[in-house]
Amino acid sequence: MMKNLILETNALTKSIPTSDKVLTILTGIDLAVHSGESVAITGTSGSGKSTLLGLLAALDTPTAGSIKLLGTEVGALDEDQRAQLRLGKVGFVFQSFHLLDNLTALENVMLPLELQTNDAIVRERATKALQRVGLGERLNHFPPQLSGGEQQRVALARAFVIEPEILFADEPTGNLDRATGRDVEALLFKLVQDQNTALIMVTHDDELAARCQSHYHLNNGVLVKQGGVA
Amino acid sequence: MSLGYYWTLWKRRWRLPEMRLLLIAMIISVAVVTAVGFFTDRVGTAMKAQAVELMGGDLIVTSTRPLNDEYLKHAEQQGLKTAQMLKFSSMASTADAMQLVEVKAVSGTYPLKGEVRLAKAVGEPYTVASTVPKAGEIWAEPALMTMLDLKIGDQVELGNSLFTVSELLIQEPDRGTSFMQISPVVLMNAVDVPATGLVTHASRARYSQYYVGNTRTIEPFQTWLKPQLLPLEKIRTLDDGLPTVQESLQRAMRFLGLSSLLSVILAATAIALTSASLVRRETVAVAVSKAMGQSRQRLMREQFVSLLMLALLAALIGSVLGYGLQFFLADRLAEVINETLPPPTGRPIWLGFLTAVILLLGFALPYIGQLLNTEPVQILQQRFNTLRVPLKVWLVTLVPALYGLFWLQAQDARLALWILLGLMVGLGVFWLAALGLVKLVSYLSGRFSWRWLAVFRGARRSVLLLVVFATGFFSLLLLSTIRTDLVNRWEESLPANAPNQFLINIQPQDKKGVVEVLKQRGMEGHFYPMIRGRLLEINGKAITQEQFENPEAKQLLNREFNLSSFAQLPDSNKVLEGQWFSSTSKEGFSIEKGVGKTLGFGLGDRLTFDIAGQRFEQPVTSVREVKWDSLQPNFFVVAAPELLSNLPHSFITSIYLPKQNQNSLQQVIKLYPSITAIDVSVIMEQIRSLINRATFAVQGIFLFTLVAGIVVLVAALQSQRSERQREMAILKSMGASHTELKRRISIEFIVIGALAGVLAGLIASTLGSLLAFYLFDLVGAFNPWPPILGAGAGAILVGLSGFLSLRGLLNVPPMLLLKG
Repeated sequence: MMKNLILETNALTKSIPTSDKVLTILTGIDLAVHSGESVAITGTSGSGKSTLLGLLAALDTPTAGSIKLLGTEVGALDEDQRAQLRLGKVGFVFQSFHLLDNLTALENVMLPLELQTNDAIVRERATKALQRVGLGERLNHFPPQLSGGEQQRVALARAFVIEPEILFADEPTGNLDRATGRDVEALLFKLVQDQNTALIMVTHDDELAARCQSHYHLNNGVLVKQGGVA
Repeated sequence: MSLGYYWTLWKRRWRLPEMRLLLIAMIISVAVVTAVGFFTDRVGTAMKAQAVELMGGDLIVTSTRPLNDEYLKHAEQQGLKTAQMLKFSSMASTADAMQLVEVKAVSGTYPLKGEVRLAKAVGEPYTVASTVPKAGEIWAEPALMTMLDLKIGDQVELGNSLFTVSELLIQEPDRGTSFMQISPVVLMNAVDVPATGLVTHASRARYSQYYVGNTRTIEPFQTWLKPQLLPLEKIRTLDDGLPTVQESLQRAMRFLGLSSLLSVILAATAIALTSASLVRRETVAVAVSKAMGQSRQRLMREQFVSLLMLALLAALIGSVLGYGLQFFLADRLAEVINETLPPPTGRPIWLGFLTAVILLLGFALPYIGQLLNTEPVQILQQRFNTLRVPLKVWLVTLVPALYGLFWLQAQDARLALWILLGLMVGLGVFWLAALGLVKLVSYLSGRFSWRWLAVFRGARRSVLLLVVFATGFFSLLLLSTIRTDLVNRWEESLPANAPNQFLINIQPQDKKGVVEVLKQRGMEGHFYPMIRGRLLEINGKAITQEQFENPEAKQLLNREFNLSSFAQLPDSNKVLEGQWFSSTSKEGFSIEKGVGKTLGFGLGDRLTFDIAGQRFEQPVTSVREVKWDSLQPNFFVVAAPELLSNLPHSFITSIYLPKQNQNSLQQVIKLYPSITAIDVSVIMEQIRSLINRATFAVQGIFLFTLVAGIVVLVAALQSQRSERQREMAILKSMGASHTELKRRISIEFIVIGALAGVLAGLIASTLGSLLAFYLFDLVGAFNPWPPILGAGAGAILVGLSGFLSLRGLLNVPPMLLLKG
């Protein structure tokens, strides 16, 4: 069966004007991601990984080139239209978790659902998502009361509760110890597989990158495919 | 460690946004405190000056014997201004008639304060005298002109001398002090006294020396003077001079003090919010410093010095701002009253500095204590969100700090304590109520899947905002409730047709005729019998002046009491203890609570009076509270209605005499020559002017409190800014649109504002009624409007401010999340 093309970029370029010159961060990036596919992007600090991730997730717009996310050309959209594009279809997992400290674990997970629907099943779905990541007993804990690993699990539950078509992960295990990191990693891949979600992950961790179907390396703003076939 | 080291540290800390916010909050609070301080100071000085004008000097020494000239000499050496007056009664006569007059013989420097107003005819505009009467001339009150059928330029005999009446005396400054003056006043030059032969050693005369200076000269002079005084010589200052004016003045001052306190509470709220987040941020730095080997002691010193520097800077900038701000208010006031206010003193600068220091130490110390307890291992555990200050720490720092602040403002230990207790109970109530409300909203949103209320899931943050806004609104509502009550009460207490003339010495046989004649001329008043009596014994024990230290008590015993006897309790009287008389009561005295307190008797004690040579011993059967500023005849002691009916007495009444009817009163007096009229319209006008000033000041301070309230609101939102920024970025990453974010902000703040308004309104109404009753002696009913108006105003104000303040965050790029 032919897999759907979820994300496609063409000669993507991002430059930032500084006081004396224009700084080019990304140059001519071509990338295609299909549904259910996992892609890792590695690179040294400052290589532009986060900038690329932001562009791919339609959080930002490119200087030149095109990005098609979920079949829609992102470059022509304003911020609200891009938000609409992400709503209910795009999930995120961040290095620093970015949970809302003033909400309980359950409320954090309910949040993306509440942005879409008024259904009474919001609570039920969020509860199930937390149970799936092994936090069924900690629904009413606030993030500061949870360990780093637990917080990242809540973040995973929050990302997957909407059953996204694509998930963007920014160093998902970067703030965790190795053992916890591996647990979170395993959970992440399991969820990706169960829900047939496309995954784009930025990481320093080559071992983690190796678990993805494709691995790209970002070097001086240029994306280079590692190993296998494109 | 050198100052330079601390300066470097301070500059580094300055990079923290919270530090800057703290400074701004502090500057604003100091500015409010000093501006209110400067302003109340100036208004207070102006009010005092006006009251002093009514009295005629800052300090007056009186005696029935000639006073020592040394007092005057000493005062003049100390830079005080002096004047003298000799007051005595004498017959003034013309070829056809004679009348008892009160002569005031004054020195050339009279009056030191206030003005002598003169006119050429009754009802004509007055002029202000620039000198005293020339030798051989007198200025006479209009009543005397009527009684003796005089006109300007006529001659009057006083003792051995003949005087020309050159002016009508409309008012002289110290008239307010001798409220119950019997005879018309005649002002003459003191140099004429010896020639009249009226004052000898045996004469009943009252010698007065008037002194005027400033606090720096008056107070030491008073201290010097006190031990020199002979037994008959008495000092009078504003503090014991003017019951009528003083009551209004005190009430206004108390209110101004209270208004300042509300600003202080608001300022403290802003400081607390900001210092909490500052210290939270500092935890990492402290853990790192400790990990690197920094001692706890040194850290404490650094924190302390850093805060002190912040306080100094805030005090400096805030005081300058406050000084500038009060000019604006004072100018507005000057336009209204057509007078410039006296310059402020330096006291508010100290007040501002102390306020800044207390605010910082009181509100940041508990956090610093916890901060210093931060363990270096926390840096490894990434555990920085657990900064909690135990209740007992709050109690030992915050409570004294708040008390200090209140005391600084109120200058009254008891009032400060009450306000502190009120605030603590209030905050507790606010907190519990806010928690309950937010939980309820949160529950409702879950129970009924009301997505629009989902923003309230962040219960803790909403509770904080709710408490902060409710406190702010509460301050404003309380202030406006009391302000409205006070102003209304003042206006009620002095209606346009409030009595302005007292008629005394109305003989019983004339009473019916007087009532009739007054009625024909459209004037009415209630007539009270007046009987003079001397207090001899309390519970069978003789009392003398020597038994009392209190000058007021001595003064009371030095003269005869004006007793009365009636069955109907006047509106201006309230029975506090015991039972008021029935119309047939034959037994008992009813006393005014103040006189009882001064002389040490109360309900059940037996008082013995000597009335017209007879002893009357009766128990005190009721204690009354009397509103002396009602301008109705009031009595320290009232006897049972039937008790004194057979004793010789005269009547007293008070009436309203319209300006254009001046002549009709003269006609009444002509018909009944025994009557003496006392014109209190001048005193009333003075009181009215005082009230106008006070009302304006109150409105000015209300504006300040409003500004302080807005500052708290902004500080509260500002303290959550970074948290909210991140939250918006997260929501955006999930696909929330601008409209959705705007909706969330609006709903959150409108609901919080409405809840805060209701809460504040309910508590302000309740407390306002209580305060009005206990502090200001006003009977207040529960006002249902504050909660209703509070909800509406709160929803609009907080909704709008929340939206405006957070609008900028709507543009936060979600990329922020990826770049930390």
